[in-house]
Amino acid sequence: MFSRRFILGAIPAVLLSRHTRADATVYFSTDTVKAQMFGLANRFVDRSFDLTRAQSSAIRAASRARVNSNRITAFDAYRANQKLGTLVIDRVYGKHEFITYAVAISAGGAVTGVEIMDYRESYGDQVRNERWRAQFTGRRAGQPLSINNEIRNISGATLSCVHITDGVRRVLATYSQLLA
Amino acid sequence: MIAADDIFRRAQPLLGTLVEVSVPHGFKHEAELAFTAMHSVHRLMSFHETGSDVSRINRLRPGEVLECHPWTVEVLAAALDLNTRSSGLFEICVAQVLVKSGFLPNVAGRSSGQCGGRSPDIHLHGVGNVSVSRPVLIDLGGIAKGFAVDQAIAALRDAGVPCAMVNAGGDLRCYGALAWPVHLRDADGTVGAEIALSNQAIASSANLLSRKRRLLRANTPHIGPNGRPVRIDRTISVIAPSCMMADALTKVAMIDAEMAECLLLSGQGQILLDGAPVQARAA
Repeated sequence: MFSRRFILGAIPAVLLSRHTRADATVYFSTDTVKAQMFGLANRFVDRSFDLTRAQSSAIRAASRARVNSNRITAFDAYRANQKLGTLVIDRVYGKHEFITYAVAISAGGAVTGVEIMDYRESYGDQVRNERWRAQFTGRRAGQPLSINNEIRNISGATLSCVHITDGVRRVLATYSQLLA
Repeated sequence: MIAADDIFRRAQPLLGTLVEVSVPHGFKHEAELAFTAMHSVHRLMSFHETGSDVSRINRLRPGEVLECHPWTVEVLAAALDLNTRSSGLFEICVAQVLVKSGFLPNVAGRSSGQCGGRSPDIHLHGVGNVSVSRPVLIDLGGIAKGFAVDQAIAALRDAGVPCAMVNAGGDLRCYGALAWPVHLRDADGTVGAEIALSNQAIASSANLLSRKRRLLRANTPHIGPNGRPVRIDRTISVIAPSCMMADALTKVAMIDAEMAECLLLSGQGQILLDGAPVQARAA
């Protein structure tokens, strides 16, 4: 590990960039995902807030999933005065990818859909590179990513969506404890 | 190159991976049909969902007859046919080993040691009836994802969408007048060759980064004919007319690329190793 870091550090950035690429695919912004998941809604009420330490611990205990961020981004969807449900925007870090996604929860508390909002995966050496991940950690949901304006389709060993599954469990715990 | 502005893309976590549907902008609503089809395949063929056809087959006792969905029967029929034609290399009764090596969870009420049945122990009869002559633990993970992509493509085509791409975590298929650029990911995670795909499917398999070490042995989610894990350090890709065939044949090609080449109908596909064509054996 030491020698690998040493070698990476010794290579000029320009040369390194030929081997390390990361591309983002943006599927939805906050506004477009609202329309996609609650097409009947004509009004959204922002329910976003910051978790206290106690709330964060309670969610981790209930969902058995790590709480990556204390900021919860959520909107209640209404059609006139009728509440249709809640949209929660969350993000997960995988081994090779960084994913922002939205979960639609009905007024009865059931998940009615999960849409990926943006997806960024590493294409090479920056896999497992904490610094590569760090560039996303301060980003607010809905803030645009720089987009490579071409379609990329990757065929390779199948990616696991286990992190999203854990994330949805965390979102549901957050909803039932603090947003319902 | 297709500009992102021309194409509407959606992605959902499904089939244990990320599934992406790309259609022209005027066909946004039709994209929903593709997801609906893949959700149906997921519900029918997931090893993890207790109500799926796969779970019901895995609880089946000899002598019982189970009625399954026509799609499940279609995948089973293709899997059993491929098992015969590949002399047993393609095998869906691998879940027993995958449970032991930790790639799949235990099945409640059934010890994996009791389920030694293999593909020839599974029988299809009548319309949609399945029975077993020995208890089996099947996993359709090596073929159902491709089938789901094919069903999504069929749904889009039936709805009049002129061109589309459906990508289930790297097992993908496209149709229409566009040639879609596809990048092949090498086994070590880097992106290597780029090819253009048109009215075809491609699937890739590798396991360099998905191994679980147990008792000094590196297990993989791919099981060979001797019940031992198959370890390959490169990526195998199969181009075929259907995604189900591409998906399934990657599992054969990992063990025997020449056999996979023979199983592809001549001129209808190709086997790639790290993006380079595998030379067919001289006739």
